[in-house]
Amino acid sequence: MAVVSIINQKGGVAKTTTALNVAASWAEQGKKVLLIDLDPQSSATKAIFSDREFEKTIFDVVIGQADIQDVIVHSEEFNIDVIPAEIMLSGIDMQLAAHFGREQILRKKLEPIHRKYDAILIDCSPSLGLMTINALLASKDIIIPICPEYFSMKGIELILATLRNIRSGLGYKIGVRGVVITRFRDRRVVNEVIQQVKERYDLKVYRNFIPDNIAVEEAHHHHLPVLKHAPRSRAAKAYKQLSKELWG
Amino acid sequence: MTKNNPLFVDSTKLPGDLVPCHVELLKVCLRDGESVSIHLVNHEGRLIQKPLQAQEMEEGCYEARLHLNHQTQVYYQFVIEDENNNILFKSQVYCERAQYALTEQWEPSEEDQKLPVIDSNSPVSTKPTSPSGWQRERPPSYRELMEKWGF
Ligand SMILES: Nc1ncnc2c1ncn2[C@@H]1O[C@H](COP(=O)(O)OP(=O)(O)OP(=O)(O)O)[C@@H](O)[C@H]1O
Ligand SMILES: [Mg+2]
Repeated sequence: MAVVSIINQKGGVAKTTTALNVAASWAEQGKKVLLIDLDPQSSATKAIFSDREFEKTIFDVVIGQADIQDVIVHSEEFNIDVIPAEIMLSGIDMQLAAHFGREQILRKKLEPIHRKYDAILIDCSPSLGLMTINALLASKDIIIPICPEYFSMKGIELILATLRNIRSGLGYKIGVRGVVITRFRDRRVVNEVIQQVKERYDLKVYRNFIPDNIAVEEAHHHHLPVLKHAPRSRAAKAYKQLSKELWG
Repeated sequence: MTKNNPLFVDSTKLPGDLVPCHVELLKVCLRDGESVSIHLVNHEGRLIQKPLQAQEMEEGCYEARLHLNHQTQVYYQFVIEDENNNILFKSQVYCERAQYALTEQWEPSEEDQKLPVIDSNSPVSTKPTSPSGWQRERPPSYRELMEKWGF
């Protein structure tokens, strides 16, 4: 398995939650996983490490002030390697505006560490900026989490248009690995959404949906993956099954 | 022609650099003996004709590879011919900035749209045409791009 970005320009669809819990589930299944937080909000970093401060983050790597090997931190609780993010990432588009090859920085930086991992997951921010482009160019394909309760076709169309623009403008073909249904409450709504996604866009939808479950929020607060915090919860079981399905 | 978002412009290439361009025409259905090709007028006014080949993986998809000058303006149309090279159908004429891929869906045009005629007596411009007005000797600065494209 190669580098995979978790992406949806729509906010709050459980990109970070999915990245964290899939990464932790893979780790539990014996895989060596690296999670890269590429969101200035640093939600993944905070979910894992709480308020711990990092001297160097992905920001320093991207602007060439740190070696990628030196910013990797290990999380015991999640049993994964992490590259943390910081708020400075929000200004990076300006900083790199005149940089030659600005869209391929991450891809190049990942080359030397690729072989150390069974999987590299990238948690993207909900905005379309240079870091999201970097994540996409570093990835073989993408996973799109969608929330059926406030699903919009526009969101999917935006992602597919982004992939098309990358293909024509930057010369990279990036595939959609599949769509993950997150935070579902009502099966009927899920079925309607799946039908639309399959019919209109011919995308794969994973069979293991993630239910809306309080254990997810609680796990966040305890800085643990849900499968450690509440292994019997519906969300933990669903993420465990989903991670197997994603690997297959 | 679509607007050009600077996020999707290869920063390692200068306008006018040669780049490989993957041409893809979807939803094509050819009968025996028919062939489909792209007719493209590049920024120098030169006509390039290239047959498209059926892609094995995707039914109805035909493709070709051209080398074009990055970010220069090109006009192109797709043409279906019979075995005697008689033109059966033409698509509309498209106008795009040359990048890494040109993808269209086959649709025959009702009217006979023609590619821009090139006067072979007039000297051919060697400079890339500047469709959007921002191509110049040096790559544009971020500020210029932001002003131009409203980022
Ligand atoms: N299955 C779930 N059940 C209950 N709450 C959930 C579930 N999944 C995610 N959440 C909650 O929803 C909120 C948004 O989730 P998350 O931060 O993962 O979304 P995101 O797509 O990464 O958001 P952003 O676009 O801001 O990066 C969080 O508070 C999270 O705890
Ligand atoms: Mg997030």
